[in-house]
Amino acid sequence: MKGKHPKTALTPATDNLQKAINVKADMDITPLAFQKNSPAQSDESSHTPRQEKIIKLKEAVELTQEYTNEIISELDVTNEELTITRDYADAIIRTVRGPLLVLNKDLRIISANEAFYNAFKVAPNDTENRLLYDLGNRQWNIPKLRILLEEILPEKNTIEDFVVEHDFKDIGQKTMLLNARTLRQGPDKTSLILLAIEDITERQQLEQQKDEFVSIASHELKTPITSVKAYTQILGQRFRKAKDMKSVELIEKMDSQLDKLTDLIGDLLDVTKIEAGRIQFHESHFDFNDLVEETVEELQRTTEKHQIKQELQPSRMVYGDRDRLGQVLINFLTNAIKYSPHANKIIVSTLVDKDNVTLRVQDFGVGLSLEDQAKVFDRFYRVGGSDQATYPGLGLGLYIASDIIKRHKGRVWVESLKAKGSTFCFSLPMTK
Amino acid sequence: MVDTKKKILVADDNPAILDALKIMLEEEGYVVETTVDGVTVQDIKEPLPDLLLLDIWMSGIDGRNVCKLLKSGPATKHIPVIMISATKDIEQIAKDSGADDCISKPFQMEYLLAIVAKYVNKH
Ligand SMILES: Nc1ncnc2c1ncn2[C@@H]1O[C@H](COP(=O)(O)OP(=O)(O)O)[C@@H](O)[C@H]1O
Ligand SMILES: [Mg+2]
Repeated sequence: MKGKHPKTALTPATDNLQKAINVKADMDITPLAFQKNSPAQSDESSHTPRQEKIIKLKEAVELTQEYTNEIISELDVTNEELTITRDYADAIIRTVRGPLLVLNKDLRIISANEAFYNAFKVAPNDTENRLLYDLGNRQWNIPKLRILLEEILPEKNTIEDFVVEHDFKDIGQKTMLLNARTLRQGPDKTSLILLAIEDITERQQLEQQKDEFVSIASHELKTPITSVKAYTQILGQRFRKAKDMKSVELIEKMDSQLDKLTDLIGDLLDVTKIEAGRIQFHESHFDFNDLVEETVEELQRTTEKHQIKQELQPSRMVYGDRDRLGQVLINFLTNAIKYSPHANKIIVSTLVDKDNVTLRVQDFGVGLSLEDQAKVFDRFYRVGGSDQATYPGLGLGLYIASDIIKRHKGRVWVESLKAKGSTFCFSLPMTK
Repeated sequence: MVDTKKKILVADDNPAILDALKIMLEEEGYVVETTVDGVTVQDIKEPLPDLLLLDIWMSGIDGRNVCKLLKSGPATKHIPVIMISATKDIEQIAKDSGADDCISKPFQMEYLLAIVAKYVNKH
């Protein structure tokens, strides 16, 4: 026992047993000699050294007996604990609302929870002790799943969020999300596999419906904007011809408000596209400084208060979606303008080295705490608090910007000091 | 004089957009014909327009199919088709349907007029 489990912590009982064994080992006798001729039994009054040894031995045996009993009762306690642990695990498996299977390493089902039986319309009798692949007309005999369980799981020990689409015998075409984990249990380390199966068919359909809805809604919202904008521009043209410049100015303001409305709709659509991974890029080689200068000029027209200064290093050709990268720049600049209402300067700079081109937009406005810096690129995140919350916005711009940059294999970040200002940056790798 | 004017056909199921486009293009000196019915575009007859501005979603008619049809007809395939839509994927759609160019809604008037001029004069 000792040799087998060198690391087992000694309980008081095993400790005592060990002592008893040690007592026996101390005695200089061979068991064989003791059994064959035992003079101790012929002389009862005087204790020869041999007799004393026998007495000691008897004591040791009694002690051993006693300690063995103690160990047995301790084992009972351990057993009880084991039962409690198993009940506990059982309770968890039964409580989990999603289908859960416990398999042994040969993929034979040890147990399944109620949710599993309900979801797949099967009975415990047809499930327990069966091989996973043999269940319900072999409906789990899915090639992709086999690779997952037989090749990937043994190596990695976990499978996370694996999507399987399959036509199941009784429940039809479903999309399942699988999570699995190998547990090594007990002294012989047999492995158990926990397999959680989540039916995400409905959720996926809802997602898709939402996507479709947003894209239809954005189309519908843009239609009236299109005609309003067209009429506005016709009027602008007429005022221009009539040299009524005051009216032209008003019309231009209307027109730029319509553009804002269009951008908001565009952002909402982009978000659903990002979620569905369906943003499409039209990539080409273009001159980076050209884009920066163009965008700065465009944004300079929207602010009278701020002077946008450019500190650009010699330009580089960049490969990417020019419009989308322009959108990132517009977002950084509109934020810089918006969140520095009392400043009059914004600095746009570029840094070029052999691997990257980096763009920085620095403002001298409200700034961001460290905590907020970590979150501003999250979807819908807007800095709270009485002053920050008064700025308009949906909290989508930076989320979209960071996705665009990430999809270009670039990096996006912010450096900021509260009440001093922020510098929003991105860098793009130079490829090809 | 009327003969020398270029003729543009605009198909869109939204009357307000048609109206505004008509005014815009007429003020530029084009002869403009409009239709809310995509079907009529499919079988246009002589005199053929010099350019077609085509919406994509037209109440029951799919602008993509209209475009493909025109671009595969010997008599009509030379007519420049410019797709105009509020759909974000318009560039891809225009390419897939064989359109010559595309404009997304809402559009900037100068941009629309520039594109129209480009294709009308090519023709
Ligand atoms: N230049 C900046 N200075 C301070 N805070 C900023 C700046 N840019 C963004 N933020 C904060 O990050 C949040 C998210 O930005 P963004 O995604 O562009 O959404 P919003 O539409 O709210 O501007 C903003 O609500 C604001 O609180
Ligand atoms: Mg913003």
